[in-house]
Amino acid sequence: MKKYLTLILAVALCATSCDFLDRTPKDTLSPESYFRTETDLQLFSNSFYYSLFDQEIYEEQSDEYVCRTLSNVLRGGTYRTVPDTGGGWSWSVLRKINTLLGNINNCPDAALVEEYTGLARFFRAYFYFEKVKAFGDVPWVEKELGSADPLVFGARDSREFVMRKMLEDVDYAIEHLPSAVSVYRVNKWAALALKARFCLYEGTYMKYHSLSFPDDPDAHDAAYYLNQAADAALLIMQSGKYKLYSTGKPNVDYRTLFTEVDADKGEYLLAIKFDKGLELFNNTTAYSFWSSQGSVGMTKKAVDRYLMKDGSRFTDIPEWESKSFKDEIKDRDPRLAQSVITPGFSWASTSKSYDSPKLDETMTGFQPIKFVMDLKDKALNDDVNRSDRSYNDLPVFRFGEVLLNYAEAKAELGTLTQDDIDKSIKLIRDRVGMGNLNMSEANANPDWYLTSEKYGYANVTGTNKGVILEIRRERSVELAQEGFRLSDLCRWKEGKCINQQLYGMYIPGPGEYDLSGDGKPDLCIYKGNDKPTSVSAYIWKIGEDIILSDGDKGFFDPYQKTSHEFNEERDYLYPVPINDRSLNKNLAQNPGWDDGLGY
Amino acid sequence: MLSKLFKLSVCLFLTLAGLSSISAFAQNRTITGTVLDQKGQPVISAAVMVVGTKNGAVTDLDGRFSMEVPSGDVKLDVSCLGYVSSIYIVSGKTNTAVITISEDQMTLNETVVVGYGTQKKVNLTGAITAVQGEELQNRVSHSVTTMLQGSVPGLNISTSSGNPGNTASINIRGVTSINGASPIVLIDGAIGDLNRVNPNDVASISIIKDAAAAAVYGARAAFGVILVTTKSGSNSEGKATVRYSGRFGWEEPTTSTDYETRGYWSVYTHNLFKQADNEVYITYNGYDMQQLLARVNDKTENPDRPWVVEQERNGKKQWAYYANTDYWHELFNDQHPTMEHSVSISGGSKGVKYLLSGSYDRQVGIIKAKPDVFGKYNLRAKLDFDINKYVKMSNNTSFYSSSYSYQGVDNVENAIAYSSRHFLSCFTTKNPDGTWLYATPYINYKVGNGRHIALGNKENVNKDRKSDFANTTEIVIKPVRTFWLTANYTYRLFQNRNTNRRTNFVYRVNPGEALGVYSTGAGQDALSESVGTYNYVSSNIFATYEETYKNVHHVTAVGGFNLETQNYKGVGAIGQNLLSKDLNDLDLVGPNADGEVITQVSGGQSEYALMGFFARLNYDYKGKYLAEVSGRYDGTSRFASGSRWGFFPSVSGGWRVSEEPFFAPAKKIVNNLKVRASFGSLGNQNVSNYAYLRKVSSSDLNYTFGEGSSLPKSSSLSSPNASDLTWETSQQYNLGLDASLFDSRLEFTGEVYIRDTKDMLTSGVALPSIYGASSPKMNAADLRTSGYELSLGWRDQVKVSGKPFNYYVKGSLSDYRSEITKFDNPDKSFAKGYYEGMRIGDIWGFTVDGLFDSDEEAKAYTSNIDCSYIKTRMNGGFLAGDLKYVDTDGDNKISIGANTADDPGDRKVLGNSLASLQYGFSLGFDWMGFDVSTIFQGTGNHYWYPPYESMIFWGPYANPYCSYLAKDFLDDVWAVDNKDAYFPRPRQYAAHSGQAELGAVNSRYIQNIRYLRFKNLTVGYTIPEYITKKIHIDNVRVYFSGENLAYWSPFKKHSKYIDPEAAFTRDDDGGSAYNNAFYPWQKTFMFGIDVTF
Repeated sequence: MKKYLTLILAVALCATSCDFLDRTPKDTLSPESYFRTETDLQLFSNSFYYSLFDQEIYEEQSDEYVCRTLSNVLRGGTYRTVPDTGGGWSWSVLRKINTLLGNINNCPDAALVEEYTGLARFFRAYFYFEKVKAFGDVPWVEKELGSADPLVFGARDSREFVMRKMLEDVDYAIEHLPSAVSVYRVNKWAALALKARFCLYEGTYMKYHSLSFPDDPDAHDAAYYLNQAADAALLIMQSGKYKLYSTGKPNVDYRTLFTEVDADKGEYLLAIKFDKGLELFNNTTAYSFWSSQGSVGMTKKAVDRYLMKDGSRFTDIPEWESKSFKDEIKDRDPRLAQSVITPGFSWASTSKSYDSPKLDETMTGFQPIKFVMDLKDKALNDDVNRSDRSYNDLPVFRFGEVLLNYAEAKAELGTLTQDDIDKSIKLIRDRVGMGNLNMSEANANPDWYLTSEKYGYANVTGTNKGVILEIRRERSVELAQEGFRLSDLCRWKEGKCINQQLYGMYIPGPGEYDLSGDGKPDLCIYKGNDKPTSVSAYIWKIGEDIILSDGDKGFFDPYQKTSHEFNEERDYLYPVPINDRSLNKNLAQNPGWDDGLGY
Repeated sequence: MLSKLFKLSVCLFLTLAGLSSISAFAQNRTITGTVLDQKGQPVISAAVMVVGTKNGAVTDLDGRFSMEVPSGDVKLDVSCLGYVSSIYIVSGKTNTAVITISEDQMTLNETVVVGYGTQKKVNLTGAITAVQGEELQNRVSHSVTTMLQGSVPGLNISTSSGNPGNTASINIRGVTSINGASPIVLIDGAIGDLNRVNPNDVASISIIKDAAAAAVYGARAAFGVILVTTKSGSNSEGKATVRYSGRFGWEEPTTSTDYETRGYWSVYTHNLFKQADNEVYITYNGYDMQQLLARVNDKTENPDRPWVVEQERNGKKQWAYYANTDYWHELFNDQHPTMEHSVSISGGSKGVKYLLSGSYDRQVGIIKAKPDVFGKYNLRAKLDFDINKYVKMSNNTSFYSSSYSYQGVDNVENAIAYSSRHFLSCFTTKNPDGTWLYATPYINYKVGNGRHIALGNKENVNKDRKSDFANTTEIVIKPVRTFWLTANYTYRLFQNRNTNRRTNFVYRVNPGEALGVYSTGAGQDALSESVGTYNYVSSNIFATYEETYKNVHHVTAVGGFNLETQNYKGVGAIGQNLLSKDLNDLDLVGPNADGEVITQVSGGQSEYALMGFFARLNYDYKGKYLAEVSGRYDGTSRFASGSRWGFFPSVSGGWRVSEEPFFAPAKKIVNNLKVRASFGSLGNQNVSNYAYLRKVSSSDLNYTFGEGSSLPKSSSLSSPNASDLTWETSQQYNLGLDASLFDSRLEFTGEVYIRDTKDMLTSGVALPSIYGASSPKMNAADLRTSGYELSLGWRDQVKVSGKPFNYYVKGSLSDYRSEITKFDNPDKSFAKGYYEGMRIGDIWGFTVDGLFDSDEEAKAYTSNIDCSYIKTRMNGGFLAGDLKYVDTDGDNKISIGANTADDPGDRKVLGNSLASLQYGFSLGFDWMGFDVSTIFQGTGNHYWYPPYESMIFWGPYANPYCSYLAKDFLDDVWAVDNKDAYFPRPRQYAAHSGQAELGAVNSRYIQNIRYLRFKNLTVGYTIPEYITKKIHIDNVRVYFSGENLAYWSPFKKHSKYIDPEAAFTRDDDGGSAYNNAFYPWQKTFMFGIDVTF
């Protein structure tokens, strides 16, 4: 009897068992049925945009912007080490991009396939640009890798190979992305701007690092990339879709561009949207106005580069070096007063028209205000004046940069004409009421300051030396705090600029100083133990509260004891992490980096 | 055994008590007699009582006794340990008696619960340890799991937090798999949670350690099985037994909480460590330091020297903080109360048995402002009844509910961890105007990360609730004596419900300024509610056949079928900007300043199904030769249809040597001797429910395209796994020896085993980052764990002052080691995680030969030996007081070689991170109604390299801003006048990377965290029954019990703040803030009373 029972049970249950053990997910979809509709493709590609948000837009430290604690990159020397993992050697974004490209043919609509292929290839080029900038040679991967794929353990491809692939990607994107203006989603023009940017990068990098690839028959030379950059920029300039933001107020417009809640669709080709309601914030305002966030400051060197309002050079003025703050910032390129706090500065929505830099909030005395939202009354802890509470849109590509890229590419090529300058640099200067750049004058009289090893770029040569230096000046001024500085130094092979002095404002000696221009002192400097009485907000003892470069006088010298050493043989590229090299011996390390591995 | 001893002692006690009060009884004759066993040997210490009197005697060494009895026939009650009590009638006509009593076969008939049945302990062929419910009764730790710690060899219990309600993790026989699998726990036959069982309900727990015994559980039993059997009612002829147990006491940390509280030293120390990089942490000038120094000995605020002083600085009014705040004790209490009550009622009559039990356990936690409270409720109702002669039914319902309410952000550990940053003792939690201190111009960070606000404002209300309902109905049909059919069905519903509220941090920076509000992150005003519901159904049908042929061939066969499914569904919702700070409901979600209502919802569900056919056949010949074959054919939904079925067989055998005729001469000493061996194969399906599939999931993207007023969605495809994932199998060999000697007073069990875990589901190969996803899981690695277990116990009764004195000593010991036997890593590269021949737990590191005495020595050494590998934060290079790394491979360079086991550079194995030995021992006695028991538990050598976020250990070498700085930390820090210090010269973040001075694992700072813990002490007194009987109470016992009373460890020398168990259970190299500080491990002191009537 029991035998039968068991048998019946077993048979009955076996019959149902196949269904019983089949359990499929109920909160996820299967990849086979996905990637079919525009919604599918859009949702999947939405996360690509996340890689755009790079904080360096406003907080990259360089020889022009510093914080209380210098970044390891800026300190250089032994402060830069080979990481075990990470350090920029991250590839998960690329995998997602390649996943979309690998599955996109699920979609029956050919036009959609082309558009989203273009989008994915834009992001792949964008992704690889970051990698090439950081590491030089990197492995090129254009499919979703399986774990056994030889490419997983492959060697690095030459940067030249990768650049060519990036060109293919970006050219496809330019051809297939929509051409309508769309400031928060990638379009054809953003792709062209990307192309101009990375081609200028590679062209100048090859030129100044004397890079060539004699063994690679398909290799391009520097001129090729510079031409590509100029052509791409020119297409944008000629499209008529973009123009610099201007309301005819040269003393306001430049700053307004960066502080507006909504990106200007005329100037921004692609922007990152921030939104107060959705609690999507950046940290720009608190970064400049909270001492606890590092007391950011523009360096004296960066300030010196701003021309006088009449177009002459500040550093040509006798005793330019020992001018006090109030005199130094007088009659300068209006962009200076729109980039750091100077006397007469006021917040747009308050009647209070005098403000001075808060010296406890800035290491150099030159307190940045670009990207800083309107603080109204700072003491009231207005909602933006908090960590991660700013919601002004931030640029990824803007027309100003396109113009600068165009002029620089042409200048480096040697094909620059005054006409080229008139359709690029001139527009930028017009907005702020500055006179045009005169190419022949510039070339006739290259700036001694920008040429000097102590303050400028020693490597520029040739007939266009003068105008190239002026275009670099324009770039520093126009793109201040937009995250270009370190990569510019790399492509120009001017890393030594990091070793130059990182000074702040000049103090002629003990005494009281009016920084806001309201006639009342804001800063009182004294020596010895007797603290003077002063109405100044800051009463500082030399050597204790403030260190000056020449003892009792001189520049703010916050990093007197802090080394900052650029290693010319090593620091143009980042190191490949130890773990990845341990796992893949085919992966070569960049020169000068010792990761302890014996190969 | 124990119960018999107990009975005997009670009986002796009564005898002796009786002897002292017999004078009133008429005596008219003396009888003498001898008590013998069945073999004619005298029985020593047998108690002989005259029935109906308190008159009695005890036999001597020759088994003789003599006593006065009334005239006429008398009934003598004879009892002795290990023998069946019997009544002997001495007729009035004789004054002598020769009484023969028989050995108590019950000792040998002791049964043990095994899978789908019970077996006689003597007939076991597998490795099973049984723990009786009584052994748990005295314990005052809060869960059954922790009570088992140290009591079963090979069972490793560890706790990862002292947080009330935190559950301990269970492991059987060491490293089971690199996936870290745990044993399955079956409560009355259905999957359950050991931490949720009422300890008073436990009748017995069987810990099944080897494959043979576990094979009937096939698929999930690879890492052991724990079977919990709960008590049932008993047929007591209608009389109910009521038992009440109540305990009250308190808890306090096992470790010190005496941190640095002097503002001066706190500021001085952190700034000193910052100086290595020419930085300062807190911008206090010379004047400020003078102010701090002036107050350094003030335990409380001296009115002449206020702790917060308003000053004018940088044009602003500012508060300067000069306090000596004991931050830990501002936030947390050391002592906190706890209590427990439980009641059970059981009984029955013919055909019906019932049991009802309930308990309540309440622990108040350490948070000071509004203490955290953990409450746990258990209820069980059990009914057994006979439907008719052939059919029995039972129903078993249990309900568990717990709630933990606390202040903080997300969880208590978060609040403790983040509070450990940026609160120097010079600060106060509140400003003089009563506002919270959160930001101050003197530091770049937020004071205490505001966690004192979250713990103190009484608005950050959180509640974690868990409930667990289970009901099992079972029917047993037994048509004939030898065959019965069992069918049961269990439904279990369990739920986790969490409510987490955060509110803004409202604070003031400078005097007179407007209030600041931190309203994002930890300070975001939001309410989060989540519910996770699990439905579990299990059904078993199995048949059992048991028969003895010709009195010698004993056969038991079990065969059956098991089905299980579980599904999970989660719902979560978050709303921001509530209309009230005190009320917490999603209906109160309001608009933000822009009028937008921000909410977020989430879901999720999953399920699995299992099906198995199992069978077991036991055979023994005369109880002498034992054999068992068992197996299970198992299928799971977690693998693809082609890979989901597996067969897991086992075989085992035993030989009771003591039953052989040739053993007879030795049997007088050795009562029982058995050798046994087993081999079996088991499975593990320890992957997530749909691991073999790739899935597209959708979630909110923290980005916007300016299209609409909610966050856009983003989809993603899960990273690939091997699609042919299948069972991980574990093959186990076990050899065991059981012996009992000297009338079962000495018991010994020894086991040796080898377990091969094959096809472990793991990231098959560590892949370089270029792969772009985590490495796919596949069945790629093999592991061998081998070990042994020993247990030895002695119990006896002697006379002390003429009164029986029962005592016992028990000890157990186990050890194991694990090695990888297969992994695709021919280079033995450390970067791939595993390699063949790798011993699990090995810690590789550099050798350090002291500290440099002078800068010259350091320079000379490093110019000869390239120490540039150690470079992170080595500002200024190696100097006096830095570590002297030894160039062990003689290449004049400190390096990691090729980062492989064959070429590790200057590294070698410094120790192993798995405890080399786990042991426990207990001793106890009872005498005159007093009982004392103690339990000790510990580990042998066990190494630990403190992770870099362990601020309690490293102090400012980890992060130069720890709130909980060890007292007098600088005594251990190298200085010109303190060259014998343990730690090197002060450098901030020196422990913070693998290439930093302390972060590079080295021989100087590796810690041996072996420990011996005084786990439990219980002292009780049972009020004599003749007193309690008068008020109709059967039994009253009062006691004190202490848990985790003390520990001894070499690690104490270097940190009195970290419990050794906390060291390894919280080891996390990932740099989690949760290592910064944590809920301390607790010791418990309780006074209790047990009443039975």
